[in-house]
Amino acid sequence: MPDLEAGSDGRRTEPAAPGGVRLADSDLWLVPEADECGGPDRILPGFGNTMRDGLGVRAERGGVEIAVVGGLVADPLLGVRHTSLGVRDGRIVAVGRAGNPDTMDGVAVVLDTATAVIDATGLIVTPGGVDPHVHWLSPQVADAALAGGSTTLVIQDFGPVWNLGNNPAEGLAATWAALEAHPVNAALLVRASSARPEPVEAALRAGGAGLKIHEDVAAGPEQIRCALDLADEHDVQLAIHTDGLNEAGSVQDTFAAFGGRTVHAFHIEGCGGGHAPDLLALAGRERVLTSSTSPTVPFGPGAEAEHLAMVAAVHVLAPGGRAGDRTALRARVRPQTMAAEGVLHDLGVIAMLSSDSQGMGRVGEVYRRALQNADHMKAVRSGEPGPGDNARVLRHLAKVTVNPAIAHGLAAHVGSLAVGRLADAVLWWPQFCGVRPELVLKAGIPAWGASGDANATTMLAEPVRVGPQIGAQGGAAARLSLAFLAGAAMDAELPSSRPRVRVERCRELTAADMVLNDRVGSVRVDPVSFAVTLDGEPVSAPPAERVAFSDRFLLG
Amino acid sequence: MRLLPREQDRLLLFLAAELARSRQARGLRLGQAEAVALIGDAVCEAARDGASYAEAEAAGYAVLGEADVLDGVGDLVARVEVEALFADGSRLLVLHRPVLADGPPAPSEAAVAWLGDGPRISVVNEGDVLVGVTSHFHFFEVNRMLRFDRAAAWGMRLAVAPGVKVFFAPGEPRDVVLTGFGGARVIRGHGGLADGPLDAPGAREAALALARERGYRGA
Repeated sequence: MPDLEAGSDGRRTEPAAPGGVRLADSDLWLVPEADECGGPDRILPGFGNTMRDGLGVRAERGGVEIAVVGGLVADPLLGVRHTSLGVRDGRIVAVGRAGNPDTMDGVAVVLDTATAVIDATGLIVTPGGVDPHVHWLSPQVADAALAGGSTTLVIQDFGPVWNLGNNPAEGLAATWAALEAHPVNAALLVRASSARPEPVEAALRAGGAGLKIHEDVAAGPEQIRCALDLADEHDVQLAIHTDGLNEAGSVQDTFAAFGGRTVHAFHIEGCGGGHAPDLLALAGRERVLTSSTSPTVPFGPGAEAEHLAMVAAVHVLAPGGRAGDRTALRARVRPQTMAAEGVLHDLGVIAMLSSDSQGMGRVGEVYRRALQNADHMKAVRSGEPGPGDNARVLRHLAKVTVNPAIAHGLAAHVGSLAVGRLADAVLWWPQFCGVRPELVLKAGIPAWGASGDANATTMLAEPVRVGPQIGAQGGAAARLSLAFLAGAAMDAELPSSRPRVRVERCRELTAADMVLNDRVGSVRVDPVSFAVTLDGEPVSAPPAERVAFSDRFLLG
Repeated sequence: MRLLPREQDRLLLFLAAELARSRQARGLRLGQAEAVALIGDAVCEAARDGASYAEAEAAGYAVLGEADVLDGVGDLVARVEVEALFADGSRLLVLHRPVLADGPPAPSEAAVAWLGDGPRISVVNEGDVLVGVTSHFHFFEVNRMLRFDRAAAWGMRLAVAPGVKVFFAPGEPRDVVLTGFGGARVIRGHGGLADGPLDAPGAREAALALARERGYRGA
């Protein structure tokens, strides 16, 4: 008897493929390692189905408030399993078989007659993405992020303002006020490119959750030391975009300025900025948590030309029009280090992937590019021990979910679907996984997702768009979203109605804390050829001529 | 024009379809969104041309074949729902696999698959309406017009997969396979006969008495 994946909307009538679930048009396959949904006690909502009083749900209270039932959960901490999630007060309180313990064995997620059920049968359920590198240059960036599966944004900027942080206090206040309309958790970074701590600390206390150094506003050893003192004092992370001119020092001097203290190094490949040509040498170090930005991953034939255009456009360079600009531009754009970047991701040396939204990156493509890289790496490197491609997929998922949450002190609340976390989840049809989310949950409530003609008799009459749902409307957006704050900012007067939580455990982190991406080693970039090695072995891969998760779906 | 939101949606669908048509005209094979737009638009325009519901549905299935789309895209277009304006007003059409299929799926009813080798009992519907019973309903207390050995069905349910509906037509005997409940074996709701722990002393006898009192056949 095949265990049919039959869901309430009638589309899910195919038996689960024995080889697993294919992600979109890629060659990545998820193979469930446990089934806590199927069998004779499967919970199905709908006419004549099991989600009814006395059958799959019970009349006595004690059940969860919201249950996400029947999905294929893919989570770096939980693994790949057919299971259900129980939600109370917006948090995940149980993971396992859903149902009525009066009539069913092994129930972990108790359903009662007040429980709202979200049917994830046939869908893949992943944690909401955590994007640690968001320039909030326009409010619509938050919409694009949600449409790409990201539900937590570590934000800099409040519009087209040269800031590279959210300071000063008025900027932080404006940002928090604007965030009331957006169903995303937020942590604001304050600009720490300052040789004196006072302006930075004042901003942190006024509503910040971390520090940011950027070379466009100074990234020398003095600013680094000053910022790290503050980071240590307040238990927040320092995100750093290093000195691409090597003006105040080279990569070794920056590393020395860290003084063994933990940092999060942004766009570690270097095209996004930072020590040229060898920023990548900071990868693989014990105390340097590393991330990439979206456009260089995976490396493709158009990457070099695109970045020559992009760097000049974003960073106010006028190649040919002003002395030195062309050299500065050329120094940043190196196919050799880009070609190594995807491999270092696959090896787990680079632990995170972020967007760098509108500041040299695509906020809605973080998930997609992580999966594209996994697919490309499977093609050009090799498969890995099974089941399926679970290990490789989870390793890449960790880069866009749990690891950025850990790096920025958010992991008690977001980044995973494990018990205790906020129920921020993305539901994907397998055939659209990484391309078009079907539903994005914020604290268990539908906040973004597919819906069509609002006048129609069904919810999915064309044209179906991915857009705001109830959880994005009015006061719901803030109610369902967290304000992450440094301890010193927890009592700040802010125009924000969100629940506040404190960022914590940022300072003692090492590479070993990066889930499924904890490899350390010696990365070297040859100063002449730009060839990259890891522990003496060459690191490179051919460009991805054609990527999955792309032109079979998107209008272009 | 005073366009309503629904009409603006129609324009969006048309625009996407136009993009798809222009690409098709250049000899390109279409992707998922392009294919859906073209199919949805074709249905709406057929209705505008005066087509009947069935004709508009056929137009939706006819617009694209496997050769018109990129490899694998036929499978991606699993279902297209669209509302079109017919002479009798707005009507929903639901097309199933419209790239790969030539028309709507033929109506069919799957046979009931019985799970396991639990007790088999014979049931007859002595009422005058069709009665449907599902997997997790306490069979002991289904519709009182079904006649069967109620005592033998205490603590039992139909041995079918969740979602399966077993129908009993008036006057037609039907054999069913039963299986026991798991968990704590407590029944709440259902027909209101058990309403408590199945294994409590005297529970079955009390429920049978109540069933008889309420006219449950076979109690």
